[in-house]
Order: sequence, then structure tokens, then C-alpha cells
Amino acid sequence: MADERWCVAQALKGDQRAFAELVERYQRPVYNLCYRMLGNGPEAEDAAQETFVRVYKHLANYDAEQKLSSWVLAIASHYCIDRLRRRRITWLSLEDVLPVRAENHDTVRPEETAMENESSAEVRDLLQELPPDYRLVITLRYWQDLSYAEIAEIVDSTESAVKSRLHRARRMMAQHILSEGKVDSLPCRVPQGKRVADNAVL
Amino acid sequence: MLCSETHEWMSLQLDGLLDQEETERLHRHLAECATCRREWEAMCAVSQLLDAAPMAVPAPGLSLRVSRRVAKSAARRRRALSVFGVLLGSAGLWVAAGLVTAAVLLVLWRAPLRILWTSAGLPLAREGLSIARVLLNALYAVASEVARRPTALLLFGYAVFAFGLTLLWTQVVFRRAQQTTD
Repeated sequence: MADERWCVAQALKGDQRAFAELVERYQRPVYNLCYRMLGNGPEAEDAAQETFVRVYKHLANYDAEQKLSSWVLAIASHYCIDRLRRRRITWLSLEDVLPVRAENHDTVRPEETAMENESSAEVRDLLQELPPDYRLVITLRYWQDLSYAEIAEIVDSTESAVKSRLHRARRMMAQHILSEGKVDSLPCRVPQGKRVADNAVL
Repeated sequence: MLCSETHEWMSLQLDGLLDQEETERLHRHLAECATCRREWEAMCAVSQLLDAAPMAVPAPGLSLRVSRRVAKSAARRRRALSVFGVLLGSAGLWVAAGLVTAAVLLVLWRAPLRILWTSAGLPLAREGLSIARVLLNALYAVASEVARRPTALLLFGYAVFAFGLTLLWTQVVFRRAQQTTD
């Protein structure tokens, strides 16, 4: 996209408005990725902000050959995975030893509670069942509608690894709803095989 | 067709990546195998649930909050750099001043310095060395005594263990207190 390149060039020259334009353009996919990965609004907001701060700091290293969306999503992905790893470490060292006060992870914005219905809670619980790297490919596949090749570029892996992660993640989620006995309560139409877009746009 | 093979095909089918023939093979297997069919239904249900979930939307004004954060981190970096610069500069000045003073003292005060060193510096260093030697000897005596008696060794081990636990506990409490103030 030509004007995207222009925005990058202007932002590199220190034009704040051009950078704000880039943020506007990518805020939804980045925030959604963080939200799906971290599972709650306040953390997703913080992670999205941090992602854009990193984008700003490393903009000079951006290789114009690569799609900007892939580059930005890769930064967000790395950050979320790191954050989940750190969360696991503190969880192990603290909450095992002491009863900790109610996690602030559970506090959600009022507008979120309105949005939060039964099926979105279900989606969140399903995603939380998955290990972070599986959750990441599922998020990129379902909400960003990316091809295996694009997902592989973002997660810095191969197409066959993406394929097998997707399949394992889907199996884990399927087994989860089977064990919970929820499969009959969900609508089930056999899909007609919607082909993944090769060049999905954000 | 093996059940293990089917699982991967199910995932590919959900992404529309199986051709006509493969799709038919998959469905033939599903018609025969109840376990795989059940799993396929669950996979479809999951996939539809995810397909139907909308994008999560950030609260309005994210770009403003981002630019504030960018400005803040730039200011922090500038501040850190200037503090570092001041520290480096003052350290350089101190070193230069020290070198000049030492040179002046050496040139002008060679004789008085020698007297000062032999009358005060050397005895002081000797005194320090002997104190260190005595302390080390005492420590060695205690350690060898402890090592010789099993009960003492046990008590010593217990003391180390208790000390370690106390340290760990203090750390946990400290970190928890820090977390509550965050």
C-alpha cells in the first residue's frame, strides 16, 4: 500500500500524525490479538500500547519488503507470548505460596461486560485451554483470516509447523468441549470448506 | 484410512484445503468411524464458535494513549542519558583532578610522602594483615571443629536451612507487598 509506506517514511522523520495514522490503522487487529492471547481487556490495552511503542522504536529496522501488517502482528505476538511466560513465572513463585488477593486480570471495563455474552466467555475459556503458541496460530487464523504462509511468517516458523499446530489446537479444543459435554449445545453445521484466503487483508 | 491421519485432514478440511477426492475419503471414514465422527462434530462446533466471535475492539483514543506513552518513554530515555552524561562527566573530572593532585604530590612532596608512608602507612597495612590472619584462623578453627562433630554439623546445616527459608520467605512477602502497591 503506497500511503502506508508514506506513513512509515513520515513517521521515521518524526511526524507524529503519520504515526498516529498507523496506530489507527492497526489498532483493531493488534488489540484483538492481545485480547485473545491474554484473555482480558486491561492487559490487552496495555499490551497493545506496548506493541505500538515498540513499533515506534524499531520502525527504522522495518524491512519494506515485508508486509507491514505481518511485521506489526509479529511484534504483538512476541510481546504477548513473553508476557504470558512472565505471568506463568510469577504465578508459580507467588500464588502457590500465598493466597493472593483477587487478580486484577478479572476486572473488566463496563463496556466489556455488556459485550461479554455467553459465547464470548466460551471462546475465551476455550482459548485459555491452549498453550500460548497454539493460541497464537488460532487467533491469527480465525480473526486475522491469514493463510498458513502468512501465519508462518508472523510466528517465525514453517507452514507445516503452522498446519500441525492448528490441527493440534483444534483437537485440544474439540476434546475439551467433548469432555465438558458441550458439543450438543453448540450449533454444528458441517462447513463447505471455505478456502483460506491467500492474500487476506486486515 | 487411519484415524490418526483423519485428524489432520479434519483441520485441513476446516480451512478448505482438501481437494474433492480427499474430502470424499474423509467423509467415507467419518461415516464408518463413530469416534472420529464425534470428534469431527466437536471440531466443527469449535470452528463455528470461533468464526462467529467478533473482533475485540479497543476503547476509543488508543492512538492518543500510545503517543503519550511514546513521549513518556522518550523523555525517560533523555533523562537517563543526561544523568549518565552528568555522571560520566563528573567522574571524568574527579579522575583528572585526582591524577593532577597525585602528580603534584609526587613531584613536590616526595620526601615527606616517603616518611609518611614508612611511619604510618606500612605499620597500618601490617596491622590490617595480622588482624585478617587472626580472623581467618578463628574461622578455620570453628569450621574444623564443626566438621569434626556430627551434631554440630547437623545444627550448622539446620541453621543454614532455616536462614535460607527465612530469606525466601522475606523475598516472597516483599514481592507480594510490592505487588499490592502496584
